[in-house]
Amino acid sequence: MGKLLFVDLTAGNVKEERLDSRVLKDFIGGRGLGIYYLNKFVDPKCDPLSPENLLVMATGPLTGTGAPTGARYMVMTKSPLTGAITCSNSGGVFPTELKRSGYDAIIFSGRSEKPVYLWIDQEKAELRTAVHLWGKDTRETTDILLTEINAKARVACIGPAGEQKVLFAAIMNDKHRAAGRSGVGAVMGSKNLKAVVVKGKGRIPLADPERFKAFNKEILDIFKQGIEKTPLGLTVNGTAGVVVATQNFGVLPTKNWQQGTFDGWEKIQGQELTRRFLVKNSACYGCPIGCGRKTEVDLPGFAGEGEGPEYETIYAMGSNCMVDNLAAITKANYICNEMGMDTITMGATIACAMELVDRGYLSEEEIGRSLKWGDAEALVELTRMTGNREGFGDLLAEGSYRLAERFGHPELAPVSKKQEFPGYEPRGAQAMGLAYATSPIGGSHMRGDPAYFELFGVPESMDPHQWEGKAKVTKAYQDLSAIIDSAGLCIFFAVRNLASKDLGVAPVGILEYLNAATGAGYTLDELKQAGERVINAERLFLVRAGFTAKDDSLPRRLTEEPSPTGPAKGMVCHLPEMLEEYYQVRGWTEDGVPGEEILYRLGLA
Amino acid sequence: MNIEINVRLYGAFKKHAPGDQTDFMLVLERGATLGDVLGKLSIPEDAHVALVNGRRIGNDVQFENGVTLVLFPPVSGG
Repeated sequence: MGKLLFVDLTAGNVKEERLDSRVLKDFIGGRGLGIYYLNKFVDPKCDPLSPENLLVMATGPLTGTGAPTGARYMVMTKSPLTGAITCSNSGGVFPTELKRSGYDAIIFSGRSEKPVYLWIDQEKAELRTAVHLWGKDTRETTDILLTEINAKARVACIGPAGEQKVLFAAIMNDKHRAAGRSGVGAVMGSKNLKAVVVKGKGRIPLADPERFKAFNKEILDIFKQGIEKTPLGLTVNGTAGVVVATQNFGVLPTKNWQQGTFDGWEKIQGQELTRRFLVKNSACYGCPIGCGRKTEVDLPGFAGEGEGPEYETIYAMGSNCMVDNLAAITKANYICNEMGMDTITMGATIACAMELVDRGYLSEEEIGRSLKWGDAEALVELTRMTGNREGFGDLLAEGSYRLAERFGHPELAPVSKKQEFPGYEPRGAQAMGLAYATSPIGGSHMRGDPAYFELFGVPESMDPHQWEGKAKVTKAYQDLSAIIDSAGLCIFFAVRNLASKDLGVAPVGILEYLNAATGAGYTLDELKQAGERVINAERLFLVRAGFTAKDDSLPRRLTEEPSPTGPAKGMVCHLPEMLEEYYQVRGWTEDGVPGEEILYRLGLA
Repeated sequence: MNIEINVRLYGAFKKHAPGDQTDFMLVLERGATLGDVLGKLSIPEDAHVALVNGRRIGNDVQFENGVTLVLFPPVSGG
């Protein structure tokens, strides 16, 4: 049975509590546990940057167990970027160390008067002053903490962006891994919480170690046989390998989402990253894939070393800004990691500013420099300025929606619920549009990723241009992702290897892992229902926060302006048709509110 | 009677090009399928992405004269 640590930052004290086994079974852990506590303790209408908001860090029951990719944790809070719930996911080693420290989750409430960090040493937790760390970037902060406490500890922290409440500030762990999205770092900064440092001990206990070990061997053997035949693209070129697919499907967002193909794509694709800058792969705890990229750039103006870029960064800072300079994209990625910022929103906001300039809605005088499509130096400079809220960076720090609204053209922001989209163009991949519009956190691909069935063919392909029948499949992938996120697994392994090989993607492999690890005794139906419960509990938070069906939207560029280039030429995203069907398959009203029947069935009534 | 298609190979499939060019024309018998092209180029039948006009095609699909076939290894993630 797990434990929960409550940290009251206003009072400066900590206390622990045993987790209720019924709640754990119903909500699994991780993302599910997060929404359970947010619904219980947070006023959905609160100011996200006020002491009334909570910050939840939660591992899942498979985190650190040795289940492949069981390395994840979730950060959940009310987002300052969207005003909705957010759940931002990260891997590395920190989540495993947190779990080994004796706590499944930490809940931070209130606001400390002065900067502090939390130090957990094998179930002993205390708050310590972080005054000497304030203003330092995430690498320096991590190095100082490891030196002054324990070199074997693991650190999650914010950088200057989180301190200055950049609305898309991230929480970085193990220096290079990010709980990147929706401004979780700004919430941490608003609480004057600079870092969480953890040191654990021993192995994580399993309910049935023999059963777990046997199933683990079976799954890994199948995985290894598969990669012997065909090396996994994720291992060879990282997520950056996706560029070749999105370009050729015509869904690589380009020029602030005006089109889905980019002439310079071959210069920014995964093979180029591998050839030019890759030092070696890096892997999160227990991961057989190793999609992480340790890279180094040795070119004037862009020199540096670190990790990245991921595909999403390459789209947002590359094609979307018409920048074909991979060194500049990589450098801007390093800066985001050091300042603690989300690369997707950063790149998408700069691209939006480029279009505002291009159309004459924003002058270069207001920016203080030139800003043309494809300007690699501007990309790097504006990223740096945003992390410090310096000059025009202070406006970029608010994200693309607030920027575009300020200059009179909010329709140019590539957002749903004010959060910027990841790199898949819904005019040529219809279900992506539905997933963006209905994701509880706004524009995101990680809360149910239709790219798997529209582009990657995992486990089967559906025509990306078709919209009929997409609602039901999108719901299945969303429910699966809620289970993956709650269990502490990574979508990259679990969708392909731990779900049924059909478009229903039943969590058959996760079921066996969870039952062996926890002894919870889930049936397949109970586990599927737990996934639905998490999604509906999140939706209830949004409804109470004031969100309605009209917020399940896309910018009119995607639903009204036909795509001008590539295979999707002439197409728009058929969101209204898909949305109507989606509400029906979810058991929600036409206003997007969970109906009585579904709430009763899930025990949420 | 023969047809001619344009083939573009990307990623690790570039090494399967018959000559120096990874973007080339290929002459086929009318009625030739994707499976035939994969066989000619020694590309695995069950581990590839094959697109014509941005849409996936199956191994038994016959080509029209003049189409462009894009081939690259499976990818995922993001």
